[in-house]
Parts: sequence; C-alpha cells; structure tokens
Amino acid sequence: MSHARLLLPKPKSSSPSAWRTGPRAWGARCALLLASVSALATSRPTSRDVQAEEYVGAPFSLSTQTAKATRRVLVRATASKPLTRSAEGDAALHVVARWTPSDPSLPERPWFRISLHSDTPFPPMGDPVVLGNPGEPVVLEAGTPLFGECLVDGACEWPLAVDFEVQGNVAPGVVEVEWSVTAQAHVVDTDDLPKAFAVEISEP
Amino acid sequence: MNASASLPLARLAALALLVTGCPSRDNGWVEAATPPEATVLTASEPRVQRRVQVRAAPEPGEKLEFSMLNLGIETTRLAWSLPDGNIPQVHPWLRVRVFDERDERLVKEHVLVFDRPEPTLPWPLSFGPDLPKPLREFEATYRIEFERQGPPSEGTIQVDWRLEGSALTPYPDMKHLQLTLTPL
Repeated sequence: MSHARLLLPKPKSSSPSAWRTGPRAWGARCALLLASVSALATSRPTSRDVQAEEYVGAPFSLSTQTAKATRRVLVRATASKPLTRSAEGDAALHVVARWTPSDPSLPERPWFRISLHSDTPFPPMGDPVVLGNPGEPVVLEAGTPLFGECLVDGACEWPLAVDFEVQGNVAPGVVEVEWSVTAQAHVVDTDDLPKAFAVEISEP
Repeated sequence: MNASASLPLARLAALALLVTGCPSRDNGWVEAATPPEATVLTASEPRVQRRVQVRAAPEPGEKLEFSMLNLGIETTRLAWSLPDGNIPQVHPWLRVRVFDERDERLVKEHVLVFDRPEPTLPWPLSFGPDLPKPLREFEATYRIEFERQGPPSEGTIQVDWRLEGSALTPYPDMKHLQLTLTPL
C-alpha cells in the first residue's frame, strides 16, 4: 500500500479530504468510525512509537528522456537483545521537485509523481502533480505502512523502494529532485519497549 | 497503567466522541447543486475558471445552527477527443484546482493524465469546508480552475461537471435550512 499527494497549504483546522460529499458518504464514514471503535476495543497491545532519524537521500536530476528513477532504502528496527516479537510502523517520503527546461522560453510543464512502497513487481504510483514554472519548488509527500513478517537475525527489516517518474515525450529538460525518508515503529503484543529499541534508515 | 497502555483508551474515547456526532434519525440533510456544465479545453485555450457563491443559512425566523457542510465537484463525464482518433505519444494532464476567495487559499487540487479517450472518473473532489464549530450562517465564494496541458499535447478535453453541496441540520424534515450554490 502506498499513497502520494501534493502538499497543499494547511487549512486552519484540518486538511480537506477527497471523500464523497453527500449524506450517504457521511453514513459510510460513521460506519467506519463505529468499526474503528470495535477494532480498537479488541486491538493488540503495542509499545510506544520510536522515530528514526530522517534519512536525506542524495539529490539528483531526472530528465524527460530517462523519465524514471528508483532508489532503495532499508528501514531497520533493533534492540540491545535480538527481537523476539514483530514490529510495525510507517514510513513517509518527502520530495521537493523543481522543473528546469532545456529551453526556458517554452511554457511546457510536465507531470511528475512519486511512490514509496515495499519492493513489489507492480508498484503502485501516487497521483501526478503538474510541475511549476522553471525553478519553482513543488512539494510532494507519500507514505507506506511497515508491517508483516519482518524478523531477520533478531532485527525487523523493511526494504522499501522509492520511485520517481516524470512525463516523457515532452520538451527536453530535467527535474531537480531533493528527497528524504522518515519512519517510526513500535513492537506489537507488548506494552513494554525493548531496551535500546531504535529505528534507522539507510540505503543498502 | 503506563502511557503506552493508556493510548488506545484515549483513542477509543476520541472515536466514541466522534461517533456521537454522526447523523441520526433526528437530523436532516439539505442538498443543492449548480446546473450541469460542459467545460471544453483545447491546447491553445487550456484554462477555464468558474466562480460559485455558496450560502447556507436558516430560513427567515429560524434560529438553528448547522454543524456539517460538504462541498465537492461531481464529474459525470471526462472525454479526450482526437482529430484522427489515434492516441498520440503525449498524454495530456488535466488539473482541477479550487480556491477559497476569502483568503485565496488553494483548498483542493487534483491532476489526472489522459491515457485513453474516456479515463476513469475521479472521486467527487471534496473540499470541505471544515467548520470549527456549529454555525448559523456560512457564505464564501470559490474559484474553480480547470487547466490542461498545452502543446505538444493535442485534441480537445471535455469535462462535464457540477458543484454539489450538502449540510446537516438538527431537524429531520430539512425545510429549516437554505443551502444555495450560485454560479457568478
């Protein structure tokens, strides 16, 4: 699972949603809320979340000729003793993209999209955004849950792929990409946080 | 009880409070919509703007407040027409943006790429507004901007749409609240 979105300016209260607007939609939302209450009432205990230090990837340029790029990161949860219980959490991708056309007099602006996901053969891609005028930053965010069997040699590991794609077949140019990943995780089936529990992000 | 153990209980309490705000048989919905419109965009004229005034208020003599107001763009058809019928290499993007003219804030943005003549319709693009507390009156003007990719993309893009709104009143018969969406 993955989602990506353009970062809109935050409203004073909460952010706008893409849900339906009618009474039926509110009925569905309330049904979901009730289901959430039931699920929480029977949910498994978990430790508190531990945040990883933000991983800042090397900036790079993506041309409209190349169109696609992938980076891989590894999120790893460890403790002073080997983990015996599984962990879970979530990871978030933050991207700043700037369009630099080869010929700045051309008004063309291509679409651009990102995705953060477990390494799968058919990765989901987020919604595209339209890049801004030359040099203008566009901010995007994407996220993915960290769950499933993760225990490897006493640690929990989640290999993730970070995909970037720009529209090809348009005027030549490059997208200057700055990106970073954050993550947090907790241990399941216990309230107690294992000693020296830590989460770290690296490029394998 | 430690802090981590009390967290699910806190979430449970918060959700229970939210659930009490759900509509019941004692509430009623008031709905309104603008007339359907077909907006046509070409590569040479790639942008169209529309303004809609939204007003929700009690009928004269009523003193009720409303706690939920939902607005969204309902798209009934998206079509990309090409002169020779063949899909060219450049698949044009279509961007829909909604601005709240009270503070010029961008409240909604959605982009889709035409990779076929009639792509899947997006969800109705909901843009709130979030009401911090029950209100007696709400009035705002929204600017809706449709923009498509210019050259070298080709063809004509048509968007059939209307703006929809609904408000929740504390009465089941819905006649106490007026909701109007007026194209300007």
